Amino acid sequence: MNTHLQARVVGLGLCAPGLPDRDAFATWLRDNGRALPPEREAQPIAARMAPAERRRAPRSIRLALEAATQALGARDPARVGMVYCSAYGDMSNTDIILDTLAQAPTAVSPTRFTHSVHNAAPGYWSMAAGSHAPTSALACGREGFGSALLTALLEMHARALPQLLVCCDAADAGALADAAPCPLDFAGALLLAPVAESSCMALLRARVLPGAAMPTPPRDMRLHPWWSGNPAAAALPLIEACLAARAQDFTWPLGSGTLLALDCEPVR
Amino acid sequence: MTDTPVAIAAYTAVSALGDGCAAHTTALRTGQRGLRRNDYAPAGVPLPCWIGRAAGIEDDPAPSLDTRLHRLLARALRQDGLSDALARAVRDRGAARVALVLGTSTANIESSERAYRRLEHGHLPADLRDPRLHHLHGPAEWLCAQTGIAGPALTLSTACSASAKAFGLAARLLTGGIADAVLVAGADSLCASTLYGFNALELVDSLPCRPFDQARAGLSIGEAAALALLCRVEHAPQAPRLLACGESSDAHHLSAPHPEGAGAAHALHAALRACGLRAADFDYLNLHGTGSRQNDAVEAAMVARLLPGIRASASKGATGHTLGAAGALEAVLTLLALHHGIVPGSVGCHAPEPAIAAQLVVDPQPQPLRRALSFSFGFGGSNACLALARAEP
Repeated sequence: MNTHLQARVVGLGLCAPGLPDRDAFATWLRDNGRALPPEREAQPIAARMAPAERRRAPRSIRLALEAATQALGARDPARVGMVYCSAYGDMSNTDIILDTLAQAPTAVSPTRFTHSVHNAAPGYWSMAAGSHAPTSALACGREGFGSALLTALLEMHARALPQLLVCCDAADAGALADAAPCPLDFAGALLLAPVAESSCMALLRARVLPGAAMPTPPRDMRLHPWWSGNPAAAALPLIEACLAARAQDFTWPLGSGTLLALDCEPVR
Repeated sequence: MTDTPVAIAAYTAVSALGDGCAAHTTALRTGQRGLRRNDYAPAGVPLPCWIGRAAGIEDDPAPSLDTRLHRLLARALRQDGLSDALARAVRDRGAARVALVLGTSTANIESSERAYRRLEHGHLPADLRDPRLHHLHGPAEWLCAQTGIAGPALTLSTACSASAKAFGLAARLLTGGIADAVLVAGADSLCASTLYGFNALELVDSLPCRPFDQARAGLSIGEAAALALLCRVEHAPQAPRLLACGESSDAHHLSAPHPEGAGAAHALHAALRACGLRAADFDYLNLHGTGSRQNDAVEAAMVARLLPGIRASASKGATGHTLGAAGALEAVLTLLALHHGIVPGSVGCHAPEPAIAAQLVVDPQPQPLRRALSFSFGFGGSNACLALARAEP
């Protein structure tokens, strides 16, 4: 059974080291003379968050919320769901908790523990957005982008609600980096809608097929270190195609013998 | 718009109450308490509290990649014909048409904790470098390799609602035509992170937890693996059913519930809307009921307001709070209650919170049941409400 799942991309967001938003990224893409920014950490603003929460929230959460805020644009967030995907969560927070547990377990910080839940970012988002809409938090390994995109498409159709798909991984930290290397921050977000809208950038048609996926690298060779370094940057080639208004086909793995095939077609 | 029901063709659990459906049914009938004094102390002196520990896990290594969580999952696969039913699905439908949705909050973090207790010059020790030990999707990768599942494999991690929401995502994979069978797994093992983390939040009772008791003083941590094999109704017409999974966000606070239970109410209404039924069409409610002072008070008031008269009970006094596994474990307990006609009791509750006393079932009662709801609420304000129905005779 090859059910087609369709969606429109009606918003994009991106936050990365040296390129804090979608417009900065689009400008950089057009300028072939510029190299990839060398920093590890992004500087997310996350303007939608209340000031007290913005101060309290770790960088990894602000990173996700910055990309989500850009993709949402001026839309009412109460009518938008969120599928958040991160391979490694907030590794810096996990590293500090693991270190404390090894040294003096009763000294674990309650705030750090609260922030250690994988759905902390969607939790903060629902507060910042004042939205009771359902959110999900996935972790599907280094190659989890296809699984997150499939989940967002299924949620969108089941609830007839637009979905923010937010992929975010923060730079690695501590000994965990031996098993989960991630040399830089990256967050990408797509706002997916079930029907055509004025802000529509691309039409997506997805199918689930048996077989092995052929990972699609970004067209712009300068982006390869980000794409291969950060699991969330698996979203980059699709974001790149949407920004360039270019038709392109993609495949991503969903499991050991299944793939997500996607046709992305620009909409004028 | 109503959800299409899906069939729950096989199910089982391993927890402090024992291994498999028979042990859990006996525990439901007798009101057994599975908690014991905390003797899990990987980092030295055990915290003075009670835990729900799965017996014998220490002597039962898991194949291929041995972790405490994988031991729980491997043992659950051996119960109630689960692995046979799964093997049949893989054979009859094709491995790529069988999917996995795993709900967990901490995955194999117990292994990361072990690694950090003996770092080598700031690096993971050589024997504990397998990435599956350190990221949330590791157990799903291991489970696919063990079972032959080659369809989509998803790990959902929304704290204590994770494996309840996993049922919702599994149903969408089935009704969307993406898979023909989906293994839903809920699993969390005992680990230092959650014991000391909840302790730091002052949410752990020093006595066995007492959900909805007026003297309750926090939760007891437990561990479990619960499994359910879901398929479309035409492939298992005689099986019990998942009617709907209602979901919502609190939009209030990361670790405290909305004071009026607004998010939980949204999840309930979403579930009722999705199955096209009224509250009065359900005759049992499995409460989230952790034993925390604030959470239970909010849940009691919300249930009295929105689900008056429906008999309700909390199972965490028997199993401990199994966190990411709780949604699936309590779905299994609720399916057993439906199948055997038992209204389970609320182990550990002696003087019920007045708001819910009229409908809270303290001691188990035999009573035929047709449909039931089960609540799961998690940090981050993540809420789920499962609507389940008994197999039609």
